[in-house]
Amino acid sequence: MVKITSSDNQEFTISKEIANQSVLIKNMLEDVGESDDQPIPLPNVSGAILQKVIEYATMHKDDPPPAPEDETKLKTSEDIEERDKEFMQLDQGTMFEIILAANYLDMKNLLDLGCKTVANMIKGKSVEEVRKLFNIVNDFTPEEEEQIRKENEWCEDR
Amino acid sequence: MIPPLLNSAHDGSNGNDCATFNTSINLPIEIICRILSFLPPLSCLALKRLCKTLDKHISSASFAFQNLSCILPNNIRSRNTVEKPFEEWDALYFQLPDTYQRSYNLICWKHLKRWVWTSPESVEESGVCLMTVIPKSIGLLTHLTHLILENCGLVDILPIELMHLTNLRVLSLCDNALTGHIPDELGDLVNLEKLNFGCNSIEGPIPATIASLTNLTHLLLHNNRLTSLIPKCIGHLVQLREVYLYNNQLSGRIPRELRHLVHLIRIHADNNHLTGPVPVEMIEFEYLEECDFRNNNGVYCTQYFQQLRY
Repeated sequence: MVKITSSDNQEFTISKEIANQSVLIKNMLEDVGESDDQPIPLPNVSGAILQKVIEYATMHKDDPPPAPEDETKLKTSEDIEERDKEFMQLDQGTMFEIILAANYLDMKNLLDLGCKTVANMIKGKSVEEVRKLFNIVNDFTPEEEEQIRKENEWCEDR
Repeated sequence: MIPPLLNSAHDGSNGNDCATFNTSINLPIEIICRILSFLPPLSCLALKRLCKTLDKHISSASFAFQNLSCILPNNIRSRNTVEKPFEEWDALYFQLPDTYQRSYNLICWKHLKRWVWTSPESVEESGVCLMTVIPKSIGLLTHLTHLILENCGLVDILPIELMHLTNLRVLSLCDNALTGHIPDELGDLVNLEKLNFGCNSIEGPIPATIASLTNLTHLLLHNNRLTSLIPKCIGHLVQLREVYLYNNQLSGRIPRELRHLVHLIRIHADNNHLTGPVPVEMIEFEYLEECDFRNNNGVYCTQYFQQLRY
């Protein structure tokens, strides 16, 4: 078993196979060696988010190695397992925090799941709505923005 | 940690949203780009005007590569041949920015040997209008042996990058609206057997460098705006079977060197401004079926050739 602690000092004890889904933790475990039972501090992840991440890792601990991908299908962000979809039914703030945690913990599958979920949220949204979603400040002058809009006119409205 | 893209200045200013999570979390630019790369390229390009930083990222070669890697199905990767637009992206290739074209070359067409599109119909099916230019990045497809883009609505000048494709055996771009000159570098395509630039708006002379195309059997340059002389060195191209030069503005004397082209089956050079006799030796050509120099300034030929016209 492996002990990890969150930024707000909550301690979690998880099995090694769950811990190893995080490349960050896996590397740390390799560095410190087997015998050390000091908890691993994860100062960038809160207890609430870590709880969700562990839930995801537990759900996927028995996953077979990734099946060969469908040869003919255009890959889309809609290729999400049903259970993962349910898992991702969260408010936007939690979703973003999970994405940040997955990025920090180096968990590719969870990161991709988060990114795909957000990509689906973007579909059909206007540029202004996407700015709002990501808290992006429009730093173009109206003329510059119009210029870029014109250049890309052909690829909008599709 | 990657620094956030933009710090929210109004963090926590909403004191009344008690139990809900803070929704003004800023994702780092790398993660926003990763999210966007799961969207179709056109949607990504349309999002370039989100802000300057994202404009820069989405315009970069690495984003194009990441985006196409995320989105393209495996079966269209590493193909040897595209006989018709395989799916939407093949046709879109022409319209996507250079960064995407280069990535597409790397991911899908790295080993491409044959590229054969002979009518716009299959393109129209996918709802994409092809009327556009041959991309410069085509010069990267150096494995190509057949490049056949006929009647595809191609406009603008013949790109010099085509002349990097030194493995080409067949180059046909007929029935488009290509302009510009035939580059001297055409002589680099030493493996060329069939060259068809017919029915375009290509100007200028036929470069003398065609002398190096010693495997050439078909030289089809009809219905263009070619000027100047038929180069004498055409006599080096002894494998030539078919030569179509009709409906141009070629001038000067018909080169006597044509007499070396003993394998000729058809030569059409009518409707130019050529003068002089058709080399008399051509009467002896064993395979010659059609020989047409009508509607030139002062071409005279023997009775024998007149019979051959049709």
